[in-house]
Amino acid sequence: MIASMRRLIARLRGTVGGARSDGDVAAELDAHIAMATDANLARGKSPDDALRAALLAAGGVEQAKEAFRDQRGFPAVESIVRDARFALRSLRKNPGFAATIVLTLALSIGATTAMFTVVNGVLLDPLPFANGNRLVWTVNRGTRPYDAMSPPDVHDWGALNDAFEAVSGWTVSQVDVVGGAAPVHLTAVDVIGNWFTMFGVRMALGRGLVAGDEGLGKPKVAVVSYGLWRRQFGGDRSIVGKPMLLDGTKYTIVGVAPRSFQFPNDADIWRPTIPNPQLESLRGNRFYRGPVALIKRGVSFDEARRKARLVNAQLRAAYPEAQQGLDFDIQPLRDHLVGSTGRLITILFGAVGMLLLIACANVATLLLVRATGRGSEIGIRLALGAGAGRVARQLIVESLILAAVGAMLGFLLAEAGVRVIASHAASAVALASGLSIDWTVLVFATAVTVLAGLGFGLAPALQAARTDVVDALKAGGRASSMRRAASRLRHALVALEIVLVLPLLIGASLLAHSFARLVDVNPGFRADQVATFDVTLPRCGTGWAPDTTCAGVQGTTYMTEASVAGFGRQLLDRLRAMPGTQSAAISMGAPFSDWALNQGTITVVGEPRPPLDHPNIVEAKIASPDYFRTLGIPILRGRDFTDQDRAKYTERNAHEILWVAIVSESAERKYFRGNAIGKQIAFAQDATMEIVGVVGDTKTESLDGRPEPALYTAFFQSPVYYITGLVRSSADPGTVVRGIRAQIAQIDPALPVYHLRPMRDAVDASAARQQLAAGVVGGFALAALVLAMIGIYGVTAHTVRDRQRELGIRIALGAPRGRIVGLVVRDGALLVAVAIVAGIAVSAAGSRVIGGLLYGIASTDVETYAAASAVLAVVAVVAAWIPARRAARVDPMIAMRPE
Amino acid sequence: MPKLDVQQGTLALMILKTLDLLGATHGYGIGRRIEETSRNKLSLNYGTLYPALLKLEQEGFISGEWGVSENNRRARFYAITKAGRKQLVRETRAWKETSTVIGFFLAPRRGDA
Repeated sequence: MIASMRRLIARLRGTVGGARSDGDVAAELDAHIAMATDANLARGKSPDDALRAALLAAGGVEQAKEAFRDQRGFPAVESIVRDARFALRSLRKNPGFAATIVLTLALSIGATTAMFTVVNGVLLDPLPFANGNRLVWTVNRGTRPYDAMSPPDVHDWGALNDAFEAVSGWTVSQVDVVGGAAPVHLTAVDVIGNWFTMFGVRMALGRGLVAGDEGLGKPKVAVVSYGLWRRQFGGDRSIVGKPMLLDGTKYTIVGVAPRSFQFPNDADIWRPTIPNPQLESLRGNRFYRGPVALIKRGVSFDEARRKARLVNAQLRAAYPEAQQGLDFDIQPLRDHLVGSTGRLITILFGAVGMLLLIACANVATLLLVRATGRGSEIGIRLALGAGAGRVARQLIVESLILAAVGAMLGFLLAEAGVRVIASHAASAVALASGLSIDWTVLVFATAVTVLAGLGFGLAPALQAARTDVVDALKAGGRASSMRRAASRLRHALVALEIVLVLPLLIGASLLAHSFARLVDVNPGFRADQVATFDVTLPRCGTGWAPDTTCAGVQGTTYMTEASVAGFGRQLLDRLRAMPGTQSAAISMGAPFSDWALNQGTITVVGEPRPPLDHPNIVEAKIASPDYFRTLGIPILRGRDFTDQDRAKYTERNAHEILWVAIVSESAERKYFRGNAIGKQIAFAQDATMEIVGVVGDTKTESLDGRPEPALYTAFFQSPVYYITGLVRSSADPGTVVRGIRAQIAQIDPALPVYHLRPMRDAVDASAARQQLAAGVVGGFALAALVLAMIGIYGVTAHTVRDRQRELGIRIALGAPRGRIVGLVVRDGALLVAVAIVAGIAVSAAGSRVIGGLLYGIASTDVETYAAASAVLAVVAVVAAWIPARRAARVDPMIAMRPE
Repeated sequence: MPKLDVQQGTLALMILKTLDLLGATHGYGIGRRIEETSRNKLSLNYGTLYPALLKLEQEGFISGEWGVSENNRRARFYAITKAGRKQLVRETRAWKETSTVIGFFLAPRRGDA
């Protein structure tokens, strides 16, 4: 033990050069020879014989020195350093080859690492809170939209299910903060119960919210998000206990959430919800968003789900009317958060995996070609006594150097790639905002690199070890069985590349087609030249529990419909008066904005009541006069809203008011048998409404969605305090934006404007996911195609060199050059044809994966398959044709001359 | 007569024993002595002897120093150290045990040898 330690230390010293020098050793060996010679002389030999005998007895001097060096330091390390030096020298002699391999590796390793970072951050990482694995999302599988629950449902969801430790829902309000330099708009999330404890979150400062904070008479408290704390309060560590004015009401800040906790992801502040004491009266009013539940420790998800389904059945049986179209179930919270993004990431990861495989095959092909080209060199080294293991190691070291340089470049590429993905894809990928390359990714990248390096090194190395020395030296060793095996391996690798490239090509062109069709889709309105923005008029109290007294509230509040309508009127007039305005309107939620979707049910007077489970669902929208003109939505029949469609608050006798509504074309078709004008409907309010117009269909949330039946009510008949302004203007966007801000500041300087943007941006953003997929897969496909081309070229060039003599004879015997080209290309073409058929089979098998991302094109679109196969075939034939043509041009005399 | 190659482990033992008996000796002398003791059945070349000496020196069982030989040649002299003597005792015991055991295997019946 101690001896081996001593030896280790001495060897380390030997390695770094602190031990006996080579000269010292040589002197000792010289002394040995001298003494042996002396002894031989003493025995009566002649001086020459004496020396020869001494040398003979001593063995080879160089071998002795080598053995001595082996004992002195770490021979493996020293010889690997030698191998590395040798490898660098031989790579430098062939810079094109080295650069191709390094770039291939850098590209594939970079792409793999970037994608793995995304996959790791979004799909594999645990949710960034302690109870992540026990949290579930309540999903509605019924016919009615949304995952949302009424307050009594949320209560029962927890109370009737003993598998749940806690259940919480939330509502979202837009609030304004007044008092700073400029008014600020925030998203406030009002939550039920022990929100932060349920998630298992440790607060950055102060405390989280508890059930005891809820109630109308309680002191008003709030928790701020980490981002808001940094942004708005400059990271003030003494913030706990300080006041904050939300919509003019004073709240005390009791805590700061940690940076890692951002749920729901737009929350700036969390407040305790204000429960309505008449809980049961709210049955069916689903304003709590997707309740989240915490499963008790030790209870399985399946168990909790079984019980939840039981509670759901109980609720449906007890409240058939309120629960119509509702069918609650649970799913892991992670699944909900990742959602359909998971599929996108899977596809991208699959694509990048294929790219890496192609790159590996390509580099292996290149190294293999090089190794066979170096057959003679290796043969000479073997003949000179180098062990086969030594030669193999030399080749592995060479590959590892290439892999290491490639990995370093790849890592830099990956870092840039992740930054790009994180900034561009945050909207498409829910959890992508916090991505950064971490050590697991580094390990992954390194593992890929080392495996790739060993893989590439091993193939030629195995081949070299099998090389028969004499065979290798003999006229370049033509026609040996080793050559045939190598050629088979090369062809197999190229075939593999083609099989892998085709799905990428097909996938990329499907996605590109789909994206092109998507952005060409007519959403039913014209977004160009329209700017939209939101304002939220401050109120006292929250949501369904307004505080009409507004005690202690500062600033202007809008507690009556008259005040809201008054604001709306002023706003509309000012927008219309802005220079350049062609038309302007107000609404609640522009299409493709966060508030766009709002659903309700209608019944048509005189028609049979629809069954409970299949109500007449409409997208409920609110429009001022000119809304349709501003958005370019055609009025097909009847009329627009006008200033004469007056509201009840201006009228003494509400009964005399004509309540009006406008429906979309598809609503007319679906619910009014194609004739809606003049029909009466019941919707939300007690009074019935008369349909006065029919307008064109529009898409509300996304370009790939279907236009749903829509019902428009008049803003000035039922005004809302969440107001969206829409301005169609011929002025330049910057002027419009400044103009809008100025106009609102003149009405109410304390009112923040937000979501102010060209409408086009919102529409484009809805296709961001498809754009990302098409762009990334397209990039991969292009890279893969180039790699495959290099691979095919390399293999054909090598085959041509192998057959040079044969081709030379053919030319000498009078074969036309065209035939020579055909001969060479035909070999490659056959291989390519077989590989393409296999590639089509692989693509068809994998087409299901991509189907969900496609719009307006089938995942098995025959034309796309044919076109991609044709492109690949052409590229392959061109890659084979270039070296073939060169072979045909060669002078037969030179071709046949031995090397 | 074919000569035997020396096994690595046993060479160390031979060197230590030789140095224990002769005191400070140079590499050539050690080699000669081992060959003689083995009645010339062993042959040692540099490639075996000098790395073994270096290894023993690294382990601290012997120490080497330049000096002058009996024939006025400059040579490196090796001497056994205290740790080397302990090692020699240990190795000798281990070798004896091993050879006894091997003997059992090769001579199934007592008295045959």
